[in-house]
Amino acid sequence: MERVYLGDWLYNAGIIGFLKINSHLWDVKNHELKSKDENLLKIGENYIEFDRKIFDGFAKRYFDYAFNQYGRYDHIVSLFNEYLKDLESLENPKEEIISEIHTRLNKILSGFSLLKKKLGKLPSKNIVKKDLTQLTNFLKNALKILKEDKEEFWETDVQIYLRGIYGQKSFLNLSVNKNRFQKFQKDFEETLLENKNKKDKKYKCINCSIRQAKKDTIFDTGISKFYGLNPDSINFVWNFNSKLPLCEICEIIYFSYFAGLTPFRKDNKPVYYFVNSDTSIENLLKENLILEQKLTTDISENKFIDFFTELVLMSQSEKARYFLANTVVIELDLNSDTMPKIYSFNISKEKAEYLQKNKEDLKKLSKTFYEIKNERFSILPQILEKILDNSLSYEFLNNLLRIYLKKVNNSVYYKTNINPYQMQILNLLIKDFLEKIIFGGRSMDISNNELWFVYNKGAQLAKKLKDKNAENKIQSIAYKLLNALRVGNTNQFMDILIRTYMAFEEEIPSSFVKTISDKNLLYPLGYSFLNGFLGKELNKEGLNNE
Amino acid sequence: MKLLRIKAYQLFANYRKPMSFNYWDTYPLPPLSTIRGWFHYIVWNKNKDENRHYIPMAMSIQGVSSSVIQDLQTLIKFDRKSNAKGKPILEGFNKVLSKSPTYVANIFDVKLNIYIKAEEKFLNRFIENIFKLDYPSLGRYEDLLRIDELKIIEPEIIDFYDDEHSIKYGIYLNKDTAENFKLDGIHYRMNFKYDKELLEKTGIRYFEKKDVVYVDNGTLEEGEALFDKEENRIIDLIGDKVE
Repeated sequence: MERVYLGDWLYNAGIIGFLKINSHLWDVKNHELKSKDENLLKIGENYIEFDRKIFDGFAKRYFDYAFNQYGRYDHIVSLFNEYLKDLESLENPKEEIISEIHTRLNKILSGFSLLKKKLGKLPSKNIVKKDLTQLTNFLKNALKILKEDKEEFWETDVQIYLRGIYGQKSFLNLSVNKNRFQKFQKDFEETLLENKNKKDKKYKCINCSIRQAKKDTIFDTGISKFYGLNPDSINFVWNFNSKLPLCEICEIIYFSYFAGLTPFRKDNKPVYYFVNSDTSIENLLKENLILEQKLTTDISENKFIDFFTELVLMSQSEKARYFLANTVVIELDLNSDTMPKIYSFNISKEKAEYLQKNKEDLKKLSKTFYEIKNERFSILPQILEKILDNSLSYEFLNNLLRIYLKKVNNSVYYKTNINPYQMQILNLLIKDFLEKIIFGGRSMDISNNELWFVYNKGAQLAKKLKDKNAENKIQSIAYKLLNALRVGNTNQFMDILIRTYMAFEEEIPSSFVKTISDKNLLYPLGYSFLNGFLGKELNKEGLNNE
Repeated sequence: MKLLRIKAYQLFANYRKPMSFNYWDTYPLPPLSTIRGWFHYIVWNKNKDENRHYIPMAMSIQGVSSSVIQDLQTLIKFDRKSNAKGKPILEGFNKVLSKSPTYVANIFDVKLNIYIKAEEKFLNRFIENIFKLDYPSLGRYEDLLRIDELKIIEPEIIDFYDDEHSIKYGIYLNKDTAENFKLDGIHYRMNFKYDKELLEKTGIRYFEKKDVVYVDNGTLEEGEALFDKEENRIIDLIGDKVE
């Protein structure tokens, strides 16, 4: 068995890529990563271990993965089918349409030399305008060739695609223009499977320090164009020695890193993402699968916030706080020499602790949203964003309550599915956030039990109003309380509260006395009351403590 | 058993992971090889005439930091001469100095507690020499180190059966220790010391690696460990067997 351990980020991407290329050997079930055959592939905490038999059929899987990731072939086939359908469905297509399709076709072919060579010359615009069959026949022929010679396209596309990512290694060498698959199979699959690579007599592998290096193989630009290590940049390595020998196993891992990346079109340019953290193989794979899912299904503005939200909520227990602080998403633009960009979850130890501690409560808000004029906003990612930039405050809760009241009034423009009970949870989250992060650990001297108690008092008063057929007053009182809370006006708030309680011959909860001595307490107490007042659910925990 | 306890502080630090280029990733605390190298450098620094040799040692590296910052920095790199236009040339190396923007993970506000076990005369010499340097640093040269305490201590072995201990600081543990205490954390296979013979033969440092687990929260409920009562910390020595 050959063992490889997590290491630098590129190597980690290689391990994830290697796993994805061999995806028939594992499964994620019930959030757990499981090997399907431990004799072939074993997944450890910070390593994977595999038998050389894993390389049986590796070349095909490697090519298939790259071909699908590139996706050009399928994209073009479906485009051509669309063009054909457009042209055939219209009896007399307008000249502009024909001209547009012609222009696009020309552009596609200029970037796809193999197809262009096979198809011959595209008839000119004037000809196809006169005789449309020239164009439809051309498209039909193109589709036929694409289908018949798929294998050849498969081979060249993989080469074209990976040349943009790696240097000139094996079949990617510029002088190789036929039998590329065979070359890869011979260079990697066969030699690895049968263990017949020549080993270097002198050097061990710099990366693993275990295996003997492969003859004439160094870590250089052949493995990655952008990694910043080449024979010139000698001051980045120990003793100015930039010729770093590699073993065949570490080499194939590095050579698989493209499959660990998730491609994404950003501003109409292809970029690649990789999530790096080093908690475990399982987490690293799961994190990258989550990001992949986020990038393919969710095209919201704040996709990384969505991703990090998911990360925080991942149902496993966090192994170390450092993990949250040091998870980064690496963005690569492989078509230019620019450095990788790093997106991180830059958080302090206190914030990591806060998120860890409140994970379950945050989860309760995970499906909530609000809508303004049909534009939908997910609430939890917004909370996370505010936590990250230290702007989570009662103002946010005030806005949500306002939207909630508008929804209750059957507003056309405002919708939300958050309920007062969840808003009370948010109230407690904000209070905890202010205490732990903004006030630097200074307590507000009010317990969660006390706040739930006040919440229940609010609910009881609302019930009383309903019993006395004064339900219609609830909303107007709530609005007034909300306005007082928005500007932090204790007098006004207490005034409304006293009048309401007096009108219904009830006693005001004594907790409110505290707001007179400490204005900061108006918010957690006031919102607790308001949430209860608007809510339908009673909190049993709070009731027990009465 | 006598150990050297070092308490120190760094405002910024990068404990670079090996093979990380173009994005300089960091360990949460200085790795074993960094501390080992630092110790040797300081012990031998002012005694260059002596027959310098490897000092068998073991260590426990602990600390807390405020956060990790992904910082965009300009690194100077040696480039090929063909890109020389308007840039300074480094004669001896026949290279050009060029600038390269790079993301570097910086750990901010690090409070370190390091315990070192080695022959006592070397511990004393470390204490004697450390302030004779231009300035103390750890990790990168620019990462200054403020030394807050250097003290030889004699820790005891404590049984946690009666009185459990909760870990509220980052610490590297031997893999076995973490397993015995049922603590989960981040597993690293970390460089410790290199093979001198191989270095002479190949010009490359091949490292002996140790399996360690980084833990920064958890509770020790059962079992024994070395304990520093003054600091309320466990000490789990990683490295050579030192008598």
